[in-house]
Amino acid sequence: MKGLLLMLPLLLLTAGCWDERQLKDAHLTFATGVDVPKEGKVDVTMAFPEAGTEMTPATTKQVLTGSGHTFRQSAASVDKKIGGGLDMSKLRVLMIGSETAKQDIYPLLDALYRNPSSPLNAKVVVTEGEASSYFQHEIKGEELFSRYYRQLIESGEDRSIIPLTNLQLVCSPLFDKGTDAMLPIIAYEENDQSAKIKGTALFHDRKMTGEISANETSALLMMMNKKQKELSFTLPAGEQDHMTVEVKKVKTKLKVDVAADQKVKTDIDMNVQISVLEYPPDNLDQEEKIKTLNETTEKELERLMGRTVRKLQEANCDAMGIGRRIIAKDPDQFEKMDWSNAYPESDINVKVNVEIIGNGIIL
Amino acid sequence: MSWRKREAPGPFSEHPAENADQFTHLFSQSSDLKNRPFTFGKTSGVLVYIETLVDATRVEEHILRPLSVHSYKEPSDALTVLEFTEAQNHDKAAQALLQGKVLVFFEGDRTCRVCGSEKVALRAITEPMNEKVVRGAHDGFVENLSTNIYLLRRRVETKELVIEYTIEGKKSNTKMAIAYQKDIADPELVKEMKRRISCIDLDMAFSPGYVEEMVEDSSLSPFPQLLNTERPDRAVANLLEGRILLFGDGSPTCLILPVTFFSFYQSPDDYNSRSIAGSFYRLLRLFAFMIAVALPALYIAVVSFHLEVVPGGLVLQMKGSIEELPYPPLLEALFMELTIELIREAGIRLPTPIGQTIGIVGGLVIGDAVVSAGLVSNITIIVVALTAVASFVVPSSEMNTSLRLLRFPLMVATSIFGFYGLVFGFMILFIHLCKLESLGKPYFSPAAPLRVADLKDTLIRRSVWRQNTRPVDVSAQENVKENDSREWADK
Repeated sequence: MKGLLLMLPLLLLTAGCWDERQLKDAHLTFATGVDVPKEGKVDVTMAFPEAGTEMTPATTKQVLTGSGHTFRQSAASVDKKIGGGLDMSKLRVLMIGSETAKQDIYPLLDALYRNPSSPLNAKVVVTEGEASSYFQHEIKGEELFSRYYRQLIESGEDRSIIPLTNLQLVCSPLFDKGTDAMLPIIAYEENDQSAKIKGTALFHDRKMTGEISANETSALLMMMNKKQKELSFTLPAGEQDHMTVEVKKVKTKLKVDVAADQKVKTDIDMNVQISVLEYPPDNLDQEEKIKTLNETTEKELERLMGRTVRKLQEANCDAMGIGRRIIAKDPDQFEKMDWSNAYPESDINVKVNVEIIGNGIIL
Repeated sequence: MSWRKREAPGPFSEHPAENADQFTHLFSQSSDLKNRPFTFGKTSGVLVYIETLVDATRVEEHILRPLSVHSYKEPSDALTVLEFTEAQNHDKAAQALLQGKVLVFFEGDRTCRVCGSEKVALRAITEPMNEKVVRGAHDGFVENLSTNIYLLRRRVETKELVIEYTIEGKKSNTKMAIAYQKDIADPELVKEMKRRISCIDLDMAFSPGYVEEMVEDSSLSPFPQLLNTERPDRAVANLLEGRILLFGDGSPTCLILPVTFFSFYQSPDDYNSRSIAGSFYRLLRLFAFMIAVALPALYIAVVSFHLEVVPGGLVLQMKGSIEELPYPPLLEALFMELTIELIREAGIRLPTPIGQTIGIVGGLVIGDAVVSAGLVSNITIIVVALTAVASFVVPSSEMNTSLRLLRFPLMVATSIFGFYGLVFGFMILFIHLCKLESLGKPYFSPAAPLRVADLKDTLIRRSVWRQNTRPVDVSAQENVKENDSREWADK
């Protein structure tokens, strides 16, 4: 009995298998950029924040770069430069340079998917130009890169100008034959000393193959029934006027038909309820006016959607998951057709039905 | 009952003076044992009493004055006391003396007459300091047993309320009382209770605290298995659920058993407020239980093992506040917890003005200085303060003490194993709670064994008219306690 009592604490305390990770010793990175300057080399740039006090806000303390053959090796070479252990579990933004994204991006993310304490809700962003340069630029009025980029992305998601993604959500489209990934793309504006949401990078087969603008992304999200908190457009209405509308409610029906000759035809039928945010000519109390506006808006939206679909097909990016629907319905047929070739050739028709349901608090 | 046999000097003598001498001898010439000779008619006699225990006025008015009136023939006619009995032997007589009674001996008569004339020093019936309520009765038990029984009887006016006296403590001879409701309480329980009490063999039983340790099922458990209360309304509510009450003379505390874990979380206030509010506070108290037991442990686990669970917006602040600390989170939290315990222990028995000073010095000065000196982080202060507040939410001070002790092993466990330590700690805790019994009844009822119907008065407090049955854990004889009181509302 005495021996057992002695053995228990010894077993627990001296085995050495202690996985303690003290928060105070961890060197947390909140923002990381990945570039592949040439085949077989990975550059990782990490920004380390410094905690602020009540008086001073948190700031970026260091930006360090490491390179190696793999993401892990590069991260380890950063680790050699810092005091304390490198900890990526609180990563908020992962940035990938646009040239890098044009090659297979999965090898860069593999290390993160294997680690159980990975930050699955980190935002993955494509940057125009090298990702590392985004940690060299000064962002006016923002002390912390990670906070700025994170908030930039999150507010863009709320306004439905970029798709809602993170490290976890982007994983399944990377592997799914029937869906393709999308990632937000940001650019740096020299004049304003700030970054800007540019639009959405389209992927095919884990490689970036094209991009669409913020406006087109909104249209795409409407077709996917994925409107977030807000969604608004400014559309031409009449000869010279423009009208800014907010989309209140979208209901999209997506119907996929595979003909006998394996020609795929997709019909997208949308019911859109909008509210007018800005329209100086007014006269919105007249039923006839509303009717004409409904029609012009329908036309404009259909044009926008059509352009978006064309760009998607050009990039061969099946972001809407049409292929997935075919797999769900008839997997054998999907196997037979070569989706990478069939998708850009497929027929996608968009029909929009618009209804103005609000015009603000003036009559 | 348990009066220890002492060598008794044979039967009472015919001569009062001899009898008086025998008692002087029996009480080892104790200074407060007095004799008072008198004459009744033609016979002489003597009163024997203990000066410090008798009420002098009552002896003068109801014993001495009537005896001096010569018209009575029999002494029993003369004595105008309520309690008038005879003692059979010296043991009984000595015990009566110790209870403050007066012995009367007459010349040529071997009987020993006992007259009740106890002095009663009473504290006023006031609200107990540590069990205050906002609304409801503001009386509390006092140190006198008969007063306590009086408070009980006034609330339950039924002949089914049984009071049974017993004397405990070989030296202290403390009178104790068991009270139960004969038509509700399980007779097996009452029998078991009496069996346990009959086994008690100790010198003094001043307070129910002594008895508590003798009758509880598991004396090493951190959880109290008997509910202490000084509130008559709380005692009565439990009595009418079929539980047994135990009183001891000289103590204002009433022991209730069997009880469940959730009994400690019930307060008379719950029934005096509306049922929605009552339910809210019940749930709040259980939430406070979790905080009081687990919050420091959770903090330690997060800070030293699982930093990825801290929200992104908070992690920098947390890191900033603990970055410069010279020692691990366990020591930091232990240091602060022990400081709080010190402040509490120091302040609890001090007079109020000094107690407040201790509170200010401890709370403000130490709390502030310790952070600016870089010994403890802000977050730890918040965690420890929250924990301390949460532990005082429990309406019972016994449970409060247990809770404050329970968090230390959990803190050590999480500092070694992180969340696994917390999970295993809670597993052991709940296994123990499920296994624990109070007077042979499940302690963690109605959670384990689960009885959903009984959650009506434990997790929440349903309206009184919906609480139709008594809790099943006491196995009451009569299960229905309410029957369609709101019949008028059914059309």
